[in-house]
Amino acid sequence: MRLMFHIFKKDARRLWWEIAVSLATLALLTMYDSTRTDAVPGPMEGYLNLLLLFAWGLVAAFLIHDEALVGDRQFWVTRPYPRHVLLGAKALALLAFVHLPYLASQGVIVAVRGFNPLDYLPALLWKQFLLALAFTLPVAALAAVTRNLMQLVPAAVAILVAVTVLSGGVRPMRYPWEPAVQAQELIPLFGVAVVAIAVFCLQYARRRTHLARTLAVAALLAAALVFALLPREYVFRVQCLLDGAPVQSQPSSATVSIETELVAGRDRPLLPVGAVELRIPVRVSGLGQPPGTGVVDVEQLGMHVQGPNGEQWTATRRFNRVRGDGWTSFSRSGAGSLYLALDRHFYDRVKGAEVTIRGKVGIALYRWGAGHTIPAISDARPVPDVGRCYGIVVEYPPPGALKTVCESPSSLPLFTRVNLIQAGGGEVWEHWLADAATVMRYLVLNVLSPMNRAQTFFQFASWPRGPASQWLVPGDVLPSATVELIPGERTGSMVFSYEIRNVALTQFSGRSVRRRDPVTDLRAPAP
Amino acid sequence: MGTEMIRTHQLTKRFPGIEAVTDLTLEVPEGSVFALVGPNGAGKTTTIKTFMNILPPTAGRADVLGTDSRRLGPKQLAQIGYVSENQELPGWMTVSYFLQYCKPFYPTWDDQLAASLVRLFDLPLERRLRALSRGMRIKAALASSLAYRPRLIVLDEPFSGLDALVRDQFIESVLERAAEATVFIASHDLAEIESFASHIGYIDQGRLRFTEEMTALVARFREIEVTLEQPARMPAEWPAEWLNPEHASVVVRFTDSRYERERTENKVRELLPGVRDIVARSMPLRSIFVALAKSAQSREPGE
Repeated sequence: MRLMFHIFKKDARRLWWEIAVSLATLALLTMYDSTRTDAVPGPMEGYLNLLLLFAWGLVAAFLIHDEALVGDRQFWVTRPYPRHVLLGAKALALLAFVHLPYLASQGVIVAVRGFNPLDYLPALLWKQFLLALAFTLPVAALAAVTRNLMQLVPAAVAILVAVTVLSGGVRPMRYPWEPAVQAQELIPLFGVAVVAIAVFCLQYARRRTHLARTLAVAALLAAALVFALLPREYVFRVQCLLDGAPVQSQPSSATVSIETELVAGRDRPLLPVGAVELRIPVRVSGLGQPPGTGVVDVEQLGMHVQGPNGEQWTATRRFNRVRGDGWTSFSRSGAGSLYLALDRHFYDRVKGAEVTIRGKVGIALYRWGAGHTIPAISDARPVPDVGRCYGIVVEYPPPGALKTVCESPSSLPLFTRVNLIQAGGGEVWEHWLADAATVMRYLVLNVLSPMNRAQTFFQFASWPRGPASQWLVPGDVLPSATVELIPGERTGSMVFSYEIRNVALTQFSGRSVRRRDPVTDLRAPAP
Repeated sequence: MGTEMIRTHQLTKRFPGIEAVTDLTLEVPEGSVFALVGPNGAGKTTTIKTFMNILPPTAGRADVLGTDSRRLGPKQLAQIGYVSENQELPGWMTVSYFLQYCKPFYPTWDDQLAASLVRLFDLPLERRLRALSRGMRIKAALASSLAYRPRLIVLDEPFSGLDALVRDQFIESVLERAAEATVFIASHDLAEIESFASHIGYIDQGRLRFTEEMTALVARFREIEVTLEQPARMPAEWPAEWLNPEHASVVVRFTDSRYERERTENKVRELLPGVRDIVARSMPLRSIFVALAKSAQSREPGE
């Protein structure tokens, strides 16, 4: 222990400048984050997130490289360093210079935002765990198999490029109203972290660099492939577990049916080259949730089309929130569309015939909880099952709007209705939390923030309202108006298979759908 | 004596495309000053790095202080002082902090000895290691490696690039310690080695050509000059122990690698007719190794 602190003190002395820069950056970020009144971080916060990760990366790399494990000229290898003590000293330093300051910063931000940090310790420790999983351990492992920054930086860039390519490219922006599919990142990240620990320990115990490098590269490639190829159903099931709503057996009445009243059309601009896009309006029903009592969130997990002569087409593994060639779009009532970007050759072969569509969907059910009312313009007030919410008037978008913001160190409910109610039981304007995406032309990055934030806007009317502008709010109602927040409580998750027979694809390639009975075969869910 | 501080058995180290050390077997007796000499690239540094567990051996084994080199741990390393010409020291540390930093790793650290080494080497305590000259850096490394009175001192080309004064200081301090420690030194600087080595091993192209006590080595090598009465025909075959024979008119010269006065003179008279005079001159270490190297070169084409 004495030697461990001795090495630790040496590292602190050696890296005081880098540590000071990281602490100053963290302090600045803490100040910006704790005073933010918008769900979207400002440009400074975005750049500070990046700078802080960079500074921490340098601290971690220099820490390891000060007793480099690669090479045969370092003075320390012929000195009586107990390896477990050295490993302990480095882990202690990473804890002291990266994780503890981060935890302290999180505590300050959470406290300034009106929450008791101790009440949210599990959420804060989860963030620490994620930081270790996604950043500290991989950087430390990379430093353990490189000699200096000249080796580490090109290796890191090469790894990032390879992982990005293998995992299917840069992921498009996640819109605020979409659920975070953490499971897809967490599963491969967990694997990377386990291998990072193995590499780290192997290097400190035996200094077998070739073996450690091979292991690290193989793990990264495997993780990227796992990320890209992980079956969506498995991801959905793990995500449901993480959300505290494990997948249950679905009611036998559940069905997917073609919604023949809806209009098909092309509205997806990003199509694979040579593909033909079809949009098939469908409705998920029979889930045992009365209409209006909650939300049905549907996710396509797999899709397969079979022609009359055995022609086959299967959607690639990436669906929905990551670009692929089969996805869904559903309203919160369960009505929506199956989108297919079919290979043109396949389409040409089957377009005149009737095909069978088989698929799997993952369904998350939400039930509306009790509403809680706060003044439309107010400072932050606790809202049960949501967090703390406040309302402020903002000038942008012109001519101004009421912005209702909710925040919490815990996850915010994916669906929360926000109703602006005119005093005296007058008019009601309905919105949802996180129902708008703000496009910013700067680095919007707040991965380090301990707070989860979401907001919605009630736009003011600048002219007399008419039939087409009922959604606009007259500014004079605000002083006495209230906002009711109704959180959606997750009540269950299910996965079920469907089969729709006798579908003529030509009906759905951009033309209106005509009723054609019987067009669907509503199948009982597969076990 | 009697116990080996270092013992290697068929130690082999291969790198991709090259075998740096081949089947090297040697023993370094306790209390000796063992010099491993050989030309540049002979495998001296690789040998040291292998038995110091800096590099894993490809085959064979080495024992240091009675422990398998692959299992050398803090307990053994606390008794070994290692200084190498190409060792990377923590340049950001001052000399003073460097010594302070090393101290807790060694239970036998002697502050007084450290202070006296600092004085002997005239080390600037507040100067950073990276700001020191090469000689000063080597001296700082040596001070940090002697201050805990190691049982085994391993020096890898310690004299490279040092001026004469620094060399003398270096040798003086090592010899002071040699009374209670074993010294293993790898060098191609034969003149310096000769003054204090008790044992010597010669390595060339990764192979240990011989290992011997210094006194025996110096005793058995002589430069022989034979003067004949008149020019004579030379023998077709020279004895194998006579290295690099050459003759001009009535003078014949060679290096006898197994010199014993009576035996050598009898052999000379037997092989060369009309011997008028035989002069045997003792050879400095450097001349011995030049003779060995020349002899090896002249044999190579036929080997």
